[in-house]
Amino acid sequence: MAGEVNYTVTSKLINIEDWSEVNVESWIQQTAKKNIVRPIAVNPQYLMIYTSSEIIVFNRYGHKVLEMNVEYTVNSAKINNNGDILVRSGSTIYIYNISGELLYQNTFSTSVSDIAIGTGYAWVSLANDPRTIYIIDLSDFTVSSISVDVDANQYYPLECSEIGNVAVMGNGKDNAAGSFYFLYADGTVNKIDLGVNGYVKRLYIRPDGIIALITAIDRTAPATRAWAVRSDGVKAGLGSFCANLPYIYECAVISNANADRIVITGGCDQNLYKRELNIDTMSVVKSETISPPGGRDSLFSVDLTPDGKYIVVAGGTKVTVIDWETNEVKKEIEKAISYSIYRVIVAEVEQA
Amino acid sequence: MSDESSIYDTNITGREMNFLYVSEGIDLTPQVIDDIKGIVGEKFTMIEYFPLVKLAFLWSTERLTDEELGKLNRLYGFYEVR
Repeated sequence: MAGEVNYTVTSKLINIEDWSEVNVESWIQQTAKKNIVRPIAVNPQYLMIYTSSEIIVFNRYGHKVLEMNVEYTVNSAKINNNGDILVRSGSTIYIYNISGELLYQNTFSTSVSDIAIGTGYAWVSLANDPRTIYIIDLSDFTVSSISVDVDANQYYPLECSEIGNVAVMGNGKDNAAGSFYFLYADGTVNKIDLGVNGYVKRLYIRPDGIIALITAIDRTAPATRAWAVRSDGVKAGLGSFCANLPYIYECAVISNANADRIVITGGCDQNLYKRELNIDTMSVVKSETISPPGGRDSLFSVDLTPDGKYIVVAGGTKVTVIDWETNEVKKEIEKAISYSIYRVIVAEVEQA
Repeated sequence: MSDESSIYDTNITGREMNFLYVSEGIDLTPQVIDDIKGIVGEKFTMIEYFPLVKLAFLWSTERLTDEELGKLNRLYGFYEVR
């Protein structure tokens, strides 16, 4: 068709011993990459790319294991560590297995607001009925619901733990007192007030479901603020950042044996904010600001390797890999498309 | 700080999934879903579909009338389960 643009998309494997890179299978798309996600998992097995009509999944050996076109419009999609794919399209959700087989679909009374999928449970929030959150048990696809006392007609972002027995949800849009919820598949709801006149913009959850990371707009300050929140409600403030961000804050959270590592992109000031958290005391034990390469307003995407050793940030025309301990730039990769989302997993090398 | 956290609901409600209707061997296309939503109206909660076995579960907040269920049965084979 006239006006169509073809994009060549290439994933890369980077060897962290010598920082050499290898291109993985390239393919042609007629739409720009829409998003890339990985499972929330201690040891993520997949990377998934999706556009409005296409879903592509790579395994941890760098192989493309699924390339699937759908006839409906994909609003968003997530994948769990078993390779089950949850897709949101209007008021319908679809669940596929890693072979691309459609196992289950569910059409609700109103548009689906957000979705999350763990290996045991999937979660669904609805746009016009946010007081009822649906939980799907993936073992037999039985559906239950949780009642949450929130304002209607808001946007409620959702994420869930690796298994999916714990989910987190924030309240969104304007005219809301910032609050945040830990939701459990057994029906328990734990509401946590953020103490700001604002709304949750982005949220993340650690695979074990114990720690969540939140950024929220404080309309009084005004500022974007970030917290780490333990499931019992204890919070740790991570900082206050510029309010008028050109793009949504990107954050990443990782857990190692002794501490939690968190990295937040600066947005206005093109810095990266590193925080290390002691989850027993919920105190920030290390706080550091670094300025990685990249142009102004272009620190759009950030991720941590699942082992917490490296920060991967997309800024300017480069994707940069930074050593967490030393802040040394280990690798720079030229990229073609600005403001893309990047996600990394640790790959394994197949023995010949 | 415990006062920042409040556990106030420990019940799975299921309150909107009160009545269940099943259809076996159905091809649940988007058009069929729209038709079913139109018949059920405000009582519609959700319609689940298992495409490998062509099984559909229709949930409603209130019991469907004889007329509504009759139409769904005639067109798409739905019958009441509970």
